[in-house]
Amino acid sequence: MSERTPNASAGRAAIAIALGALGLVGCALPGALRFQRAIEREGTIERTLGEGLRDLARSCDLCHGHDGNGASQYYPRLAGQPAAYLEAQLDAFAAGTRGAPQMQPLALSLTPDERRAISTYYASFAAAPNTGLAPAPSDPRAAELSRACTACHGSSFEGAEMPVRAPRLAGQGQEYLARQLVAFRSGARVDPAGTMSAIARSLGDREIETLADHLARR
Amino acid sequence: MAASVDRRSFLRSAVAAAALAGAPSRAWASGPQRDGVLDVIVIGAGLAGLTTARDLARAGNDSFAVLEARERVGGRTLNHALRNGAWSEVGGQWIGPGQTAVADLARELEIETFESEYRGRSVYRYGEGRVTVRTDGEVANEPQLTAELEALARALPAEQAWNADGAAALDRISLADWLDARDARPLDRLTFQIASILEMGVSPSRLSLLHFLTMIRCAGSLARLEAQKDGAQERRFHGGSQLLSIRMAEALGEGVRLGHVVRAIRGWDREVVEVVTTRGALRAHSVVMALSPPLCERIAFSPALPAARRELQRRWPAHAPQMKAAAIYPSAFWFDAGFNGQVFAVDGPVIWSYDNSPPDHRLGVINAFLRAGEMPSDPALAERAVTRVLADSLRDDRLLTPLEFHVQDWGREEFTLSCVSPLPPGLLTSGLMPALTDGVGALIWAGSETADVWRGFMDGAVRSGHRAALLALQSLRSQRRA
Repeated sequence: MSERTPNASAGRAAIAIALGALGLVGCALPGALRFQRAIEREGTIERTLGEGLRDLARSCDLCHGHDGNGASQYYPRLAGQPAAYLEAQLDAFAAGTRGAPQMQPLALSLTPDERRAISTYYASFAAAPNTGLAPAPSDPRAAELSRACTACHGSSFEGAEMPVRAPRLAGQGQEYLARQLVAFRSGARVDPAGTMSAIARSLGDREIETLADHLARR
Repeated sequence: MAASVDRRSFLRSAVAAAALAGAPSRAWASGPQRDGVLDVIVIGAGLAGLTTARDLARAGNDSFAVLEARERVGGRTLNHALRNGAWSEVGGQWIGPGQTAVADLARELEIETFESEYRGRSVYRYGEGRVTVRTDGEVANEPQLTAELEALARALPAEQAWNADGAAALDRISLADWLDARDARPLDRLTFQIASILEMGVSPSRLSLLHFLTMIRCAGSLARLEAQKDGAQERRFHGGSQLLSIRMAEALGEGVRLGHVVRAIRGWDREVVEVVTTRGALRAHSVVMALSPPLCERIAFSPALPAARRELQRRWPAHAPQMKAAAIYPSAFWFDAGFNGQVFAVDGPVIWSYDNSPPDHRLGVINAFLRAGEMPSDPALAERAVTRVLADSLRDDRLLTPLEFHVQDWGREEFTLSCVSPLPPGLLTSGLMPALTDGVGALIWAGSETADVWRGFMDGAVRSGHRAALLALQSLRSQRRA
């Protein structure tokens, strides 16, 4: 341990003291300097984006991951999703047409402008590879099963606005994908054209697992 | 009717219940069931529901059932059993000054408390940045901002702050808006951001300033709300916080029915209500809803609930699930190096880690609040993600190889949904708040969310349970008279 340990005294932010100590002792504390630089960088991002949006995104990031590129397979990844798709989902949560007990109150607390802005924000990030999956052998039937998805979701499952608003599937959370297919199959989730319900009803549990795992690893 | 409790009759019931509590009598009892109808059904076997049932039993009433969806009691408190008979809490766990209701309950159940171990140095992380500070369990915010927040909080009434003069103006803005208006520096914003995420599961722009102020008002000061030393996180329960519920349920015996998922409540506007569960229907004269509003929203009511209650349930936040890990080691060796096990991180999977070892140190335990989105679902990858932060921050590679590693994601629990309620700007003064507590027909609302003080804490849950039992007893009295 090369770093000195300042004492927190009453009425002063603990970190501030540590950073303040930099000036007092006049020596370079690399870790503390890097901490300070991270804060300054954050301030720059906030000025660019607007403090409100950046702060709202921090709440969303808690489940969806930094910049919407989460490691969780349970909570959906938002990075690189079509903005119109994300906005339509937030609108559907607020209206109650897509049942999601955790998302409905949150969507209702946002104005339509905020829903649009946060959708554009997450759509603007490139989707990073899904690295939160343990290695597993691929199922030979997976590619065949997933071929049908490309018609709407794009040749690389990257999502599309046309001909229908279809989310990105590549690299999406494996548990999330499986849960959605089960929800489409049971009727708990419905898509406007009914396409997903029809497709999901043709899939067995094993096929849903295979498909979700295959898409999550794209 | 439980809907409008006039103060005098409420107090009469309170006095009667208190008198009966000492010496159980049959004065209020009607036998377990009369014509197949119970006096009271309590939905939810967390601290609120079990406190309700316990009070009913102590008042001599044994005509009740507590219905619990899970195969366990305790709601948002949960002990992970560890090797050597040790435990680590992965839900609500602390008790602090002023939390007298849960303190009284613990004393009655003969559950002791002990002080959290927080002496030593904490590490603050942001990206590659790392700062070490001797905190000793204290949280010190920027003094000017703290003084202004505390002055605003002190001006509020202790209860129903949303009715206070000027409440609407404080509820219209978020904590972030207020920090903006005060031109807070990035560092000070950061400390409030960490506090907001830890306490309420959201960043400051999603948190009503009025809501934050009511929490400070309740705790007495910002430091008391946030700190371990002399604060709301000061002490733990021997045997873990879930033991409170386990002891109560043991005493209630067959009155508690596990694995009963309530799907529908019919005829709540009548004298006899039907509660439909996955294991059949039960009938009662009163129903105590010891559940958070978003969980009430999952139940089908017929007739439909009044519009204000429906709207409140729809809008009540359920998006602060919280995720906690427990990493178990042969000993609490971090204290030897002067660390208290605490890491505060602005990014990455860990939000805040802290020592959670058993008091006799038969094992070393570090618990951590986590960012669920940064946590891989695969158990081995999850363990690596957390222990890497701990080892790198506390500079000890022994932290990379825990004996056991547990994760609890409350967001995946359909019978919890959310641990805390970060009220967004506008909800407290929307006019919907009376619907949080005002009973309708045979329904009595309970749960920590309904408490006058320490809302969202274990203490609030216990308070709400006492209140619900009194309302149920009073309702029975008036029914018997009629």
